[in-house]
This record gives sequence, structure tokens and C-alpha cells, in this order.
Amino acid sequence: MSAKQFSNPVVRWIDHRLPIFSFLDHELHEYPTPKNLNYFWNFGSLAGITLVIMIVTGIVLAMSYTPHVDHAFDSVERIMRDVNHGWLLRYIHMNGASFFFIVVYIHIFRGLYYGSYKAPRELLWMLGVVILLLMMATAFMGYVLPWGQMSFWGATVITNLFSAIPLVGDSIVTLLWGGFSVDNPTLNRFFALHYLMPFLIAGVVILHIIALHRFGSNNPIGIDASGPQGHYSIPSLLHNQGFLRSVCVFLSLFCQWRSVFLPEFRGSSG
Amino acid sequence: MPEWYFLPFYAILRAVPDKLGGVLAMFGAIAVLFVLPWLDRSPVRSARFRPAFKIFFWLFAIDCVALGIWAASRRKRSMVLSRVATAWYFLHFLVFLPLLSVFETPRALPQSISSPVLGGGSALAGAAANAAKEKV
Repeated sequence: MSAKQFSNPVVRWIDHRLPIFSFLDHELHEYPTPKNLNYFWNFGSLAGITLVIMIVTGIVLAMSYTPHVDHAFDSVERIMRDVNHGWLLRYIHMNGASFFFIVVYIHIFRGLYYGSYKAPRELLWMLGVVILLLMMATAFMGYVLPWGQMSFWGATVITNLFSAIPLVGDSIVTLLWGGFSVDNPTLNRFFALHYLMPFLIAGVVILHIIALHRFGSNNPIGIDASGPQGHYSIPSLLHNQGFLRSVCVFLSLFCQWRSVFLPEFRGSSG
Repeated sequence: MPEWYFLPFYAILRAVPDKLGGVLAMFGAIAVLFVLPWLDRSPVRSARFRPAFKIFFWLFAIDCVALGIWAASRRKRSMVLSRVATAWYFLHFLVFLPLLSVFETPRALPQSISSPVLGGGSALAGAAANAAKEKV
């Protein structure tokens, strides 16, 4: 990381002691991006944005949610009816989960098509698979929290899968449940883990980005971009891709429109 | 019925008649992704230069969507179809990709990432500019 001289004296003072501005300049401004990227290369950062939306709406929802079998469903109903804009927060969180998977699946298939998993990006790819697994666990436990019929039977069916493991299967299921059936301890631990895991995801995302920035993005041609003529910096990339921007705008508007006007489309929970 | 984003994995779970086998297949469907970089040994990354891989990629993409659709269906025929699709899912990773990396002949790669973009167009534009200079 090159130490950079900033013109602002306050920034320079801080950066000398805590080189956070040098770091940001290096990773966001100097970081080279292949100039032939197509708009499928947006879905990584879109996934990051979605993660932030999910964490923010999730934390606010947790302020009005009660993880107890007698109160969970009622507290969700209260969020929908009494809490100011609670309905909007919950619908953004619910549909946000779907959009998170849409964006991440596109991101994965982009990687499959363009061979982004190949050397030297194997660990980058594997960290991505870890993120997918964590996302699935988080989404499943979030689905249980409203404690409706779908939640209860979803929790029962999925946790019972582990009983298929020979010898220790039943003990594992008892451990997951915190008892001998899906009950209050199950709901409590699912809530605790549903709150924890997004931050684990964020941690693995940071590793994912460190691995990405080691060799930079792959590109549609799949050969290594070399020399300054092959690269853009991220800010100039953003300025140059009008089509890409319209796709992002479309997706975010669609997500918002669906959250507000078609929130329960194809849904069956509750 | 799980959320749509779990449906392909749900189809794989149900496609195997044995409970433990189904669970193993479902987790295996994700586990196989971890070793993907070592299953696809072709030195060429992009599908643009791999004609056979490109076909198999799209078949795999269709396979995943089909798994999701058949998981949501309760018809008896769907169960048979999702078994075929489950088999295809694993064949793609464990058989087709390793074989493709050996037998496929990739197309020639360009010299730099800008040459396919600049190649014809800029060469012509450059020639036109030179011709204009010569006239002056």
C-alpha cells in the first residue's frame, strides 16, 4: 500500500496515524478493473448492497419482534399493523431475501460461465460457496421466526433431515431443537442465530473481497488484463456504463415496487 | 413447500428414495461446488472460447431451473423427471466438466482484453485518421 499525500491537513494527520484513507484510496480508487466487464459483473456489489439492506431492516424489525412461541406471531402482526412503517420494513426484509438470492444466483452463474473459479481465484470461489451456505441457513431460520404454520412445519421437516445421520442423528436433532420437539428453545436459538449469521456473512464477504482484490476481477474474455490500457479504475467504470446503471436502477425499483404492491406474491407463510 | 430459492435443492433431496441418501445428495450438490476448480481443468476460463462447454453450461442452467419447477409440482411424472435432472446435475460436475477439459478444443484467445473491442474498429478508424493526415 503506497502512502499517499492528501491535501486536506486533517485527513493527512489522521492518515499518518491510522492509514484508513490510504487504504480506501488504494482499494476503491487505484484498484484496477478490467475495462471489458459487462453488466453481469455488477451482481457482486449488488449482493453486498442487498446484505446491507437486509441487516438494516432486520435490526429494526428485531426491535419490535418477540422470540417466544406465545408472542412471536402476535409481535409480527403488531409490526404489520401498529409499528410505524413496520409493514414496509417487513416486506422489504421478506422480498429482500428473495432478491438476495436472485442477485447471488446470477453472480454464481456469471462465475460458472466465465470460469471465474479457475486459478488463481479458487479460494475466492470457495469463500463464495461458504457465503451461499450461510445465506441458506440464515434464510431458513428467518423463515421460522414468524411462528406460523409454514414456519413450524418448515422447522420440523428441515431439522428432521439431520436425524438421517447414522448413530448420532437423533442426538443432533435434540441438540438443534433444544428439547424433544420444535418448541420455544428452538425458536429462541433460531432467532439468536438468525441475528448472528448475517454478521458472519459480512465477515466472509470481507475475506471474499480481499481474495478478489488480490488478482482483480476476471473478465468476459477470461485472459489476464495487463497494462494500464486494459483497466479502468472503479469510479471511471461507473461513469462509463450507462446500461449497467439502468439495470441496477431497474432491479432496485422492481424490488421496491414488489415490496410495496405485491409483497405476498407466490408467498405462503404466515 | 420451501421458498423458491431452495426448490432445486429440495428436488435433489426428494429425488433420492433413501432419506440419508437424499440428505447427502442435497448437501453434496453444494459441496461439489467447493471442488469445482479442480473438476474443470481447462486452462481457458471464458465460455466464449469453449464451444462445447458453452452448450453444457446452458444445459446445466436449464437443468437447475427445471429442478426448481419440478420440485414445486406434485405430479408423479415430475418425480421421475427430477431424478433425471438430479443425475444430470452431478454428471455435469463429476463427468462432463472433467471430460470437456480433456477433449474440448478451445478457440484461439485474443492477445489482450482490448483487442476484440478495438481490433477491427479502431484499426479502421486509425487508418482513416492516417489517410486524412496524409491528405493535409
